[in-house]
This record gives sequence, C-alpha cells and structure tokens, in this order.
Amino acid sequence: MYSSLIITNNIHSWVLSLMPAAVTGITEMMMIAMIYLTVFAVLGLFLVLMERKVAAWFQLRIGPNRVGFFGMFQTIADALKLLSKELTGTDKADKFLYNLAPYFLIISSLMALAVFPFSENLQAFDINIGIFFLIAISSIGVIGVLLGGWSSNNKFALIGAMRSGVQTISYELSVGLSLLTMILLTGSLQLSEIIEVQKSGWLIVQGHIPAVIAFMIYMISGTAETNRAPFDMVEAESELGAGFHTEYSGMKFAYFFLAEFINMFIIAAIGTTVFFGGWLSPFGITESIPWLGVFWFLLKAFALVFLMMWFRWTFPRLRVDQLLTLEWKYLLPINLFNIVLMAIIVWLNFTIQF
Amino acid sequence: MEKYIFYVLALIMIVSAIASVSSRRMLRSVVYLLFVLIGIAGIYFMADYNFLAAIQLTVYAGGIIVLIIFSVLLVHHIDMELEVAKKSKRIITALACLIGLGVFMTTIYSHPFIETTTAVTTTTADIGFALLSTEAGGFILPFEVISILLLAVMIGAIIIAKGEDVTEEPPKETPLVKQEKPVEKKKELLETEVTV
Amino acid sequence: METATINNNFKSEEYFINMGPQHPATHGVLRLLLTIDGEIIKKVEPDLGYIHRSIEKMCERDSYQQIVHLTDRMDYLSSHINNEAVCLAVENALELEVPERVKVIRTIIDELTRISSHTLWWGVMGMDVGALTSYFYGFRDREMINDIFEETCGARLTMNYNIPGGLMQDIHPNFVKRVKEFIAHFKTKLPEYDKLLTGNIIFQKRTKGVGVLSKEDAIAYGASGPVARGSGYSCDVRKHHPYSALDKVSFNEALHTEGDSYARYLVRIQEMWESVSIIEQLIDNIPEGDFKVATNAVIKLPKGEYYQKVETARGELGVYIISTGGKNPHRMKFRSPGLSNLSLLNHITVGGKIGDLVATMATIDIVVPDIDR
Repeated sequence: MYSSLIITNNIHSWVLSLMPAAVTGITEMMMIAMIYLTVFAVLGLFLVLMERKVAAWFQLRIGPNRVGFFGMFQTIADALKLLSKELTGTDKADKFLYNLAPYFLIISSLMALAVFPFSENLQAFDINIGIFFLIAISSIGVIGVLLGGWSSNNKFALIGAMRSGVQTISYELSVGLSLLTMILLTGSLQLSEIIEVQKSGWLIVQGHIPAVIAFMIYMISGTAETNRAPFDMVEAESELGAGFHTEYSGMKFAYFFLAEFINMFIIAAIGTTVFFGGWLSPFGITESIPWLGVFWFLLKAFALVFLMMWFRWTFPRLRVDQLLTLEWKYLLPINLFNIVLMAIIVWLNFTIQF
Repeated sequence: MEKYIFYVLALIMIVSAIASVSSRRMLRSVVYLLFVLIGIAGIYFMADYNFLAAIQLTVYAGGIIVLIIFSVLLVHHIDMELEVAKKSKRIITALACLIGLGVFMTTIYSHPFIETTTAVTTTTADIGFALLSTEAGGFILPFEVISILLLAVMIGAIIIAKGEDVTEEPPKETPLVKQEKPVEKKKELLETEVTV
Repeated sequence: METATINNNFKSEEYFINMGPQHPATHGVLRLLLTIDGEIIKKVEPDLGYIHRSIEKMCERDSYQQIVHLTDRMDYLSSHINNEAVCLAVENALELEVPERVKVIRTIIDELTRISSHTLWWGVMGMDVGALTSYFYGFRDREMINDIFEETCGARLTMNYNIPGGLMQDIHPNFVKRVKEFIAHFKTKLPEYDKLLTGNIIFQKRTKGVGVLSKEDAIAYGASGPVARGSGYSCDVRKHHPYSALDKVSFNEALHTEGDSYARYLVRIQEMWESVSIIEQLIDNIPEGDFKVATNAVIKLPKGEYYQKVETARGELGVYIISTGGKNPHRMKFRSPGLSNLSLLNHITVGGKIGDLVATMATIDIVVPDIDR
C-alpha cells in the first residue's frame, strides 16, 4: 500500500524539479501551511455543525436540516452571514491590539494542530519535545484573550477577560501534570514515540488505575481550559454581557468562535494521542493499511469531542470561585498524588502490556 | 537558508525592542516585548535546542508576560499615555546606547569564535539526568535550593495578597438577617402559632 | 481573582450595573439596578412598571364577566386559578351555590395548571443555572397539558374557562381519558427530573446555602407560596381556607425548613407530586350534573366589600372587591404574590455573588405581569 513517505518524497522531487533548492524549502513550507489552514477551516465548519446537531439530539429536536443534505452547509451559510456584517469598533479602543488579539488564538491553535500524527509518517512537525511544545503553545492563547478584553474599552469585557484568563492558566497546570503522568509510561516526549509505545496496548490500559484517574482529570481540566461548559461562567448568556468578545462583531467574532472549537478539538486530539493510541487501530485490526490511521484518529478524537459536548448540554454551570476552588484544592493534590502512584507502578513493573 | 531566517528574526526582534521602549502606551510596549521574547524562542529553535525554546515560551511568554499584562490591566486606564522625556535627555541616552553598542561590537569582533563541527543535540533525558545527578557537574543542589525559594515566594505572595484587613472567612453564604428587629416585632405573631 | 486584591485597588469604585429590562434571566420585563463591589452584591433595587396595563382601572369599567377575561393575563402561568379567584369572589358575594361537578372540575384543572406552571419553572431554573437542556424537557411535558386544555377550554395559555356561576362549557368527552394518560406519563417523568437536576452535585452546590430566608423574615415580608414554605412557614391557602373541591381531597403540604434555594426547589418538586395525587383522587369520581348555575345577564353585587384568596402556583392571590351595588365594581384590588415575593430579593441576595442572584431569582419564580398588572 502507499505509505505517506512515498507520496511526500514524490511531491518533494516534483517541486525540486521546478525550482532551485533554496526556494523549494520555502515553497514546501507554504504548501503545508495552506493544507493546515484548509484543515483548520473545514474542521471548524464541521465541529460547529456537529455541536448544533448534538445539542438538538439532546434537546429532543432536529437541528439544522434545511441547508444542504442533513444541514451540512449550515456553517458555510453562517460564515457568509458573518462576513457580510459591519465591523463595528468602539470609539477609544486600541485599534492595533483590538485587531491583533484574535490572531494569538488562531496562531496557537494552528501551531498545535501541526504536531499531531494523523497516521504513520503523516506528521508535519515531529519535534522531540512534542507534548511539552503543546503545553507551551497553549500558554500563548491566554494573551489573546486578555488583549481582546482590554482593547474593547469595555468594563465588563475586561472583567470577563480577566476571569477567563485566570481560569485558563489555573487549569493549564492540571492538564500538564496529567499528561506528565502518562509520560512516565512512555519515557519520551516525542509524539510519534508515544504512539510507538502504544503498539503494545493503549496507554490507558497499560497504566490501569492511575491512567484512568489521569484521564478523568485531563478531561475536566481540558474542558475548563477552553472555557466550555460547565466552566463557561465567563461567557454565559444569563450573566452580564458576553465575556471578553462582547465588542467583536462579524469576522473577528468568528475568529474567536472558531478558535474555541479548534481548541476543543486539540484537547481531544491530545487525549487520543496520549491515552487512546492515536492512529492505531484497536487490537491492531488494520495494521497493514497505514492510511486507515487517519480514520481511527478522527474517530477517537470526535468521540472525545462528543464527550465534551455532552458535558456542555447536561451539567449546570459552576460559579467562578467554585471553579478555582475545584482546581487548586482538589484537582492539583489528586494530580500530584497520582504522579507518585504512577511512578511506583512503573518502578515495580505493574503495567499491563500485550 | 538558516541565515535568512536568522536575519528575519533579528530584524523583528530589533524593531520590536525599539518600539517597546519608545511606545507611549503601556500595553503596546508589553506586546512588543512579547514579540522580542518569541523571537528569542525562534532563535533557540534554530539552534536545535527545542527544550530551551519551549521553556522560553512557557515561562517568559506565557508566564511573565501574562503577569505583566494582569498588573497593567488592573491599574491602567486605556487612554493613559506615558510621558515623553526631554530632548536633552534623549540625546544623552542615545549617545550612551551607541557607546555601549560600540563596546559590545568590538568585544565580539575581537574574539575568535571557534565553530563546532560536531553539534550534539541535548535531549530532555540528558537534562533530566543532569538536574538530578549527585556527581561532579550535577545540579541537584541548585535544583533543591530553587524549589525552596519558589515555595517561599509562593507563601509570601499568598500572604501579601490576602492583605491585613480582610478576614479569612469566605463571603458569607449564611443569611445576613438582622435578627433583632423582625423578631422583636413579630414575637407575638409567632407565639400565637401563625397559620395566616 | 481574589476579591481582596480588587477591593484594595477599586475601593471607591462600586460598579453599578443594570440587569434588564430585556435580560434572559429576569423572567420578564423587570429591571434590576445592581450595585456590586467586585463580585459581591451590595444592593438590589427592582424597577417595576414596564408591563403595567392598568388592569385594576379597567376592571372599574367592565362587567364582572368581562373582568374574568382580564385576570388571566396577570399571572399567565396560573391563568385558570386567577379566573377562579374572581368567580369565587362573585359567587360568594351573590351567595350562589355551584354544583359539585363544577367544583371538582375546577380543582382538577387548577392542579393541572399548577403542574404546567411548575414544569415551566423547572425548565427555566435549569436554564438559568446553566443546564440548557432541561428547558426542553420541561416544555415537552407542558405541551401535553396544553393540548388537554386546548381540547376542553379552547385555548392553551389564557383559558377563560371559568365564569361566575360555573364553567363556560362542559368538559370534552376525551378529557378524563387524556388526563389519566397524562398522569401515567408524568409519573415516569418526575423521577427523570430528579436524576437530571436534583441529584446533580453542581446544581446542589449552586443552590444550597444560597439566598437563605428565615421564617421570621418570610412572615415579615409577606412571602407566600413555595417561597415561604421553603422557610418552614405553613401558609398553603388550600389547606387553611379550602375552596372548591379541596376539602374533599387529602394531600400533604410541602414544607422544608432550611430556607435556601435548594429547599424552595424541593418544595416545588414535592408540590408537583401532591398535585398529581390530588388529580388522581378526583379524576375518577366527577359527579354528574349541570356545568353551571344560571345567573342574571347583568350581575350586580350587593353593596359591600368582598375578599377571596386562592393559592396560585406563585403564592397567595387575593381578590378584593368594593361594590356600591352597580354593575361595575367601585374598586378592584389584586393582592399579587409576586410583589411580596420580589420585595425580599434585596434582603436575601445582599452579600452574595451575581451567580447566586440568578439562582435565587429562579427559585423565587416571579412572573412580572403578575407584579405590574
């Protein structure tokens, strides 16, 4: 079967035949960037539609079903509507920062998308500190939120931005620590190596008890870090204003909106890579067809995304101080204890391997 | 190829640094500083030292800049502008900077830098072993000292943030009923078994 | 964000925020002027009158049959009970004895109205604290009741089924069968409500200990209905001054003593169970007979003052008529339960947070047209 390496080598030699070596590098980088931008846009479109359909299913109704078969082009219609809206701006807003703020979020999401292994050898940036890179990138997204709230020159947007920022940086800790628990099993931070290790059993099975605890903590912190319900007090409609993106309209609002959904997908993708084996098939059914890895990866990632949507439409919201109490008083100590437990299990060789 | 990337990064960093110190709006200069720090992380990535680059992003860009932004948000107002120094001061500062730059450049160009032919990539495992090794050249003692320092810093921050006049109780979830007045007036009502 | 830090920097700056009149969480056109300090509420002032329609003034120029049509627009979720209040006041003034059939049917439809109001309240309560799906589940059950009403009374929300002297029409032949089906269906749904919200730990943390109202304060502010019963003040008009067929049924009064939002929530859930039991006791034995008693075409109440109180889903509604012998009342006053319940909002939310305000407003369950009339 075609391996991805053959295809990429073919493309490389084709581009090399067209232009000198120095320019080839840049051209290939631009091509990969274009591909990822397309993936970003299509994923965003699909996730918004999925959210609406899943919400409708939970709420005993149908959801969008007019535009296109099964409502597939609904999000494109929404995007067209948002494009045609007037870009309002406030009077004394800081124009440079106001326009810059959404880009921090988009850039951090795109950089994070670039390191995921979609299949064997189908990975844009196989850096040797994979997981750590992802954690570092998520720290930059916070800055976009804070700048967006400040530059709107709106008291409530500022309060909303600060609350959202505090929530994100608190839960980043838990995300990092729960991922670190699984690194104890793999011995390497590199994402493709992590999946190599999982060929002898998915990590959530290998690590049994502490891995399950780490997964639960990871899902809770991941949902909280992307400001989704039940942790979305910041942007709740029945509270004051709409959070830090009150003053953004039209396409700029669409940036924030899309970035939130892509962040949700990134959390789910990290979860599948580290806990559920990435592009590996269960019990190695289709090991001989590496291309099906993309399908398995997307299936697992969307299952986790569905879980996060399930949270949103079922649970009431936590109050802001209850949110922070949950992180600092409960999740962090459990996390630290879990790391010690996992270290003991790895040291005594109690992991389950096939 | 790497040369071009280096020049681009260096240009971005220099322009952002100059903009950061000459901007009159507080938060904009913080954002320019952020660009400088991200540029430094880029140079680390180029030097094949990925771990340090990620640390730069996490600690500097993600931690320190966020801290500075929070403090600016709490205190500053959006149309506060910083004052511009007098012209004489500006000329003296420019001269001092140029002299400093001259000293810096002479030192660099007069030293013969030896290019390494065998570059060894430092992996995370190497760093981990070095941090915790007790042999000569190991960093276990600074590691422990720094962790005690961080603990002291955190405790100090919590104590200072709590303030002296704020009590330790969380906001009351029990009723703030002034029990005296209604009970005095309605005592007869209650005692005669009110059922409307 | 530690409120202590914000306090130190913003000491002289207490925010003043306007909630409403158009706001998803205020259940109608109600404007709340909030003075907050960081996250803590310092003062809440409700600003009423956005939906004032001069109902009481209009009553002074309408005949008594026309007045019945005005009352179901006051608290539109318990419209049938509002109509019944005026009809009972007029019937007691004329010393008219309505047939047993009328009384039993009035009580059954009363309790169905109470269930429909409480299911809507439950859906909106979930939505206010963030569980957006409960809205649809509450409305699904309410639709069945609306369909029963549409078949018998002709309308879904503003029923106008009561007239002074009895009912406007006899019940539809399908009525008994459909009500029994509904009861059977609803008894499987109430445990679902418990699973979705009552037992959820996030919901409990949002409502336990929030908006505590002591029994003395409930009496002092004149609270009634589930708000007062959640604080342990036994004030159910159906128990203490029964009307229509309520003296023939046996039911418990839902009482809890903690006085916080969770207690008020539990009181309403229990009230739904009690309403189901009342309907079950009455639905099989509707006595035969006339569905109304003949009255004059132009009703004139003898000179005097008359008062009638009923228990709507919100609390105690009082109808006070001063008649000088003519065909219109001289003055008609409605004692609305929502106004007294709203007056204690400032008292129980000061010192709490904004999220607590939303949860408390949801459990006080006001309908603003009832307050503004």
